[in-house]
Amino acid sequence: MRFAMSTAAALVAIGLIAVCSAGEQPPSLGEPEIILTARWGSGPGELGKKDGSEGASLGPMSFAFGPDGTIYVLDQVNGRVAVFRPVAGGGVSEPPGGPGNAPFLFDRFISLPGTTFEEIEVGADGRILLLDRLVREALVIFDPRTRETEELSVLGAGIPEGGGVMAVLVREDGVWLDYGRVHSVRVLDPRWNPCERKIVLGRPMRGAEGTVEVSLGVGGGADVRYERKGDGPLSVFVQDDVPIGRLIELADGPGGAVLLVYHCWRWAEDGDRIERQEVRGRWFSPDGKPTVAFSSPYTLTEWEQFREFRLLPDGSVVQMAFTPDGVKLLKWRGP
Amino acid sequence: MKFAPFPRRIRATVVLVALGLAGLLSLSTSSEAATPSMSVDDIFCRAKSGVGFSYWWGGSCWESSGCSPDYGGGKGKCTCTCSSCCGDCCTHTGGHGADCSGFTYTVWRLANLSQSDVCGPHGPVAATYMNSSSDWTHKDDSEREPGDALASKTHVMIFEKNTSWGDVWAWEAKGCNYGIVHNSRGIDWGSYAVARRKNVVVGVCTPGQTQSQECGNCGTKKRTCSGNGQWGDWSGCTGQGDCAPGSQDSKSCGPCMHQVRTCSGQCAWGQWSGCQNAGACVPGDSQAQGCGNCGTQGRGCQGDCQWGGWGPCQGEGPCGPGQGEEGKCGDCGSHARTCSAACQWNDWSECWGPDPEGGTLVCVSELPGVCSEGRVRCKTGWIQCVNVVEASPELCDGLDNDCEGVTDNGNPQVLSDPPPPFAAVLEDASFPTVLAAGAEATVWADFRNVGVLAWPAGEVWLTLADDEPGPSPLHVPDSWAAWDVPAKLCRDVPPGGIGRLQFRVRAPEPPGRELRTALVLRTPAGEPIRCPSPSLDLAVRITAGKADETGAVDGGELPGGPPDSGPGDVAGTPHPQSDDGTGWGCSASRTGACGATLLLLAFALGSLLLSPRGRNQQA
Repeated sequence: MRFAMSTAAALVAIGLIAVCSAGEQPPSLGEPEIILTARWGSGPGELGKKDGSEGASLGPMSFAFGPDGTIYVLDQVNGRVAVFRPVAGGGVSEPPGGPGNAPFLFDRFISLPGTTFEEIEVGADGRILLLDRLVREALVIFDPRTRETEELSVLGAGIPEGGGVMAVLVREDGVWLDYGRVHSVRVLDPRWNPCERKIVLGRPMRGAEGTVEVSLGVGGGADVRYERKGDGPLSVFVQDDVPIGRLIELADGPGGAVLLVYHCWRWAEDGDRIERQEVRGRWFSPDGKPTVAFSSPYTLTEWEQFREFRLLPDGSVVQMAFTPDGVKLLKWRGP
Repeated sequence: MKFAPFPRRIRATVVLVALGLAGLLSLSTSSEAATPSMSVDDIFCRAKSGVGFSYWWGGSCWESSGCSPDYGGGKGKCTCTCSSCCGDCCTHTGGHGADCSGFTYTVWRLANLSQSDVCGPHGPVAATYMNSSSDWTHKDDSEREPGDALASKTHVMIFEKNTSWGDVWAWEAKGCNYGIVHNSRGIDWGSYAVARRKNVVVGVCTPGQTQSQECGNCGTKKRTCSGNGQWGDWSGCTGQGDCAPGSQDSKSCGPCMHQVRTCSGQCAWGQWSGCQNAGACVPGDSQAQGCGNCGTQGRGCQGDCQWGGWGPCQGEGPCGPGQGEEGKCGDCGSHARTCSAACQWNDWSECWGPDPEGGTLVCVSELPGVCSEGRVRCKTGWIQCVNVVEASPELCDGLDNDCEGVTDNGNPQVLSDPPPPFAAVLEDASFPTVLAAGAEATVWADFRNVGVLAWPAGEVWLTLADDEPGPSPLHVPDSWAAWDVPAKLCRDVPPGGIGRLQFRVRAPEPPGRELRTALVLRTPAGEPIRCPSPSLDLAVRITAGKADETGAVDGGELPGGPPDSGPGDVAGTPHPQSDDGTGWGCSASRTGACGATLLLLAFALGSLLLSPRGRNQQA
């Protein structure tokens, strides 16, 4: 990401917001709330970053919210999960638990049984679901209280190799894995026990109400297709004033609304540098009409991360962004 | 072939030089010869063969078997001692592994490696791939094609394809913790550039490459990769033998006889065998085999040396070995049987069934006494009332313990606790053993009440025993209450107390004989008291002539003697007799002897006190 390269580049990127936001955008949700900032490092409240040297550069791979709103950041570079709890009333800028963490305070670390996890989910009972798609090619259910782990291979019907798993989707009917951005495979039941596999194209909607899928389309657009039970298939073509180069998140939220988050950029004339880029999100009504939008100057950086966005049950959207100083969590309210 | 990677010292030098001089190093390593041709499939094959090997900073060596990794020589192991770096603070053990640039250089086969070699020099560092060199050309990100390298200042990987979301599938030596992986991942195109290897042919093979394949009968065919990376047509199958390995040939050498030969692994026929039966059998032979339930069937060899069809199955048993069968029996049971190895049913198992209501239903058994209490059971398959209390030795308890149909029969001496309502112990008695014909004498008997109920006055009688024929020859009508009731109690006797029953007897004519009379106490209901010793057996010998007025002899034979007997008051000892029936007991009479007894009480007491051997121990 430009921000990681130089302050000057960061300023240029922020300046691009207006450009990228131009065009036929639906009403904006406005500026996001910064709910967490954490510095790079290995101390309390800090998150690990690995600078590549003939290898990949890595940042915290993912993050999740507990049932009580607690934030769990998968700080696999430091071999742990950093837990931040919400501060009553919010707005604390320099809490003692971790400088710069606001309005969430650093609470504790949970040491991990490995350093190659890329995704995290937190269950209502406190158990943590971890994905190690490359080395173990398995889901690991980890109980931080007892340190007990249960390893369940992801390989099987619909998943020929772990490296193709691109997302963990927790739904009412169990845990699904997005494979290669093509189809999803249900691998665990609601209690996180292995179950008979079920495969659907795209991604399952919440409440097993149907499926939704998206792919990059012609001319820098994106084709969103969703099919609810009882309704015929619905297609929406999303085109922006800046070409869409990468799709980031696709999920259905409260009331059947559908969220699409994408990364749009435009190359400079010489083709050697990106001239303009930003991340944008759009909400669509159940009948496919755009309702509201938001945008973020923070895009993917060289420091690899597995999950960039997370949709919360109330419709809020949270982005984990990497900056030269550390990590920020930005939150947009729901539509 | 396998080359050892550079030693660490040299490797570090190479890296530094590469970082400083970028493209110069790549030129120096490969400018001596043109980049060898290579197909995209070959790039993918080599990349795939590295998956699973360790990350080795400065390394570029693994082993493969075709397009698959061969871990036989070990994967190597990288251990990182710090979190934020993957170079000097990581240690590696084993001889296999690669870092990202070593992996890319080897996959691209830039060191003039043969097609099968996956070990060689490390090559330039990742950043070098961001610019063009003699072996590759820089391309715009949007122009990326399968087999290209995606490189940043610190990392490089082999690009396979895009996903529908704009992510990429790539092979990469990701880092110490991960090793070499194949994965789908996001790319920050602002940090990454595309490098395309030179002389990559878009096709499935490398120009000039040849392939051979077996065909026909041990023949071979060949094809050659053309300049456009596509395989040419297969040549014709050449060098074939006479036959297919393992095939057989035969020829006739007489009726039902033939010779055979077999094709060798080199596709050449072997020698003919001797003449042998060509059919399946010799005419006239027969065969038998088992069928059905232990039956047999047979077949015969026909004139064409082939077996005829199997005949009908005969001698079958009623069942198949191991077969089981269950059935109901009785009115509540079931039983089972199995089929023997000889196809005959074995005997039924015992008929058994669960007790109705779990065996809690109460019933009255056919047995008397305490044995009559029963429960409804399923016994040998039939509903029966089975007694739950077994017969036991009779106790003096008012129950029929031995279940013989009579309560307390046999005068059981052992009292139960608590004792029965009515029980009596003969403590002492006095009666004459010799009496002159026509003479009378007084008889008395002391019974202790050992039951739980009091003996009401006038309601407990001493009577003839049930089996005693009446009337008694000793009967004295004026003294006895009835011809079969010598006496009644004249006062209440509480439990533990002693009651005396007194009456007179008269010796009838003729003399010279012995008369016996069995007496027993009876309850107010008229039932005989059964135990422990409620009876008195009189035996009087009748003599001629007038006897002494008190000439009776105490002939009472009390087993063990009365418990409260005083000194000298033992069984067989004569007791003083009194004709008037006085005493603390009373004689029974039709006119109410009890009243007379009370009037004469003072006199009786005086007589006893004056008597030298009176019943003072009882007074």
